[in-house]
Amino acid sequence: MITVASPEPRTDTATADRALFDRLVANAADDAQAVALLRDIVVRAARHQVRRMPRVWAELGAVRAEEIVESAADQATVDVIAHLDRFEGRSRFRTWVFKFGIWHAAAEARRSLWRDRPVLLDEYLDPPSTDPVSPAAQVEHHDLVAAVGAAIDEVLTPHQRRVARALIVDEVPIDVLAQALGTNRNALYKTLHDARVKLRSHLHDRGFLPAPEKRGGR
Amino acid sequence: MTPTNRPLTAEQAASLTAVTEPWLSCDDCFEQIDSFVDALVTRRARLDEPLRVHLARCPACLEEAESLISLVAEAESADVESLLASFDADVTRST
Repeated sequence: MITVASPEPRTDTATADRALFDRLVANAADDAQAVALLRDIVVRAARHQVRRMPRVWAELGAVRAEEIVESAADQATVDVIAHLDRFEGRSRFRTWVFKFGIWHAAAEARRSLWRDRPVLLDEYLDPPSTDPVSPAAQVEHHDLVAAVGAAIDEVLTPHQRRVARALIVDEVPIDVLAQALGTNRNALYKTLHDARVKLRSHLHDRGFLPAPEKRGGR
Repeated sequence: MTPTNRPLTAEQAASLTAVTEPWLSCDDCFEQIDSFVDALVTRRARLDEPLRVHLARCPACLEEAESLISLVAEAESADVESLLASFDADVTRST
């Protein structure tokens, strides 16, 4: 007789997760067993994330990969407990917990992978070349590419220039740049958003881009 | 040539001028992504526009969203590849 493993029934998992949530809310500080159950869920998510990043294994090795999982799990467990009052039941508790483990593991892995590469913040202030890499293949974009290169220096602040060049041109991971600048992902994405708005407006005024569409906002 | 002196490519120029509106922050994305993923896995929900635009322009949030989808789908014994393909098509759809 062949026995096929089946996933735990959804209702059982949901009931157990709800009980775990209640225990954590009631007394996370003294309920070591509940915290251990929570950490098991977080470790699963962190390990899942690191497994999806093959460069971690190839460049850092299995030991460092496991360190990233454990470190991220520790941080995520603390983070979940600190934010229990933010869980509103719009998703399953397990899914909500998973995202903390994934977020911490991904950020830790990105920083570890970049650890030996400098983030050349001062050099981001130098004007870039505006010649496209492959002029023959991109000839129709030449004017726009050159205009974007010039606009970076004309309309962006030094901070916007630095962030835009690091994230878009040199593809520095946002978590790495956040650490280098002593800020966070949210602030950098906002800086990049503001830079894009200024660049588009400048390029529209000079006829390089069509008029912006009127779109609904939040 | 230092990395920063590299010439811009057409792809980079396009990214630097990409529309990132309706605005949604990384924190907002983090707040919303779990409920979206549950809805995607259980009833193939589609992204609302602010979340879609954010994921299309934030590689880190996109990578983490795909990871969460695959993890939840695996736990639910759902078709991971199909869900990820549906999600990626939704993120890159034109509006």
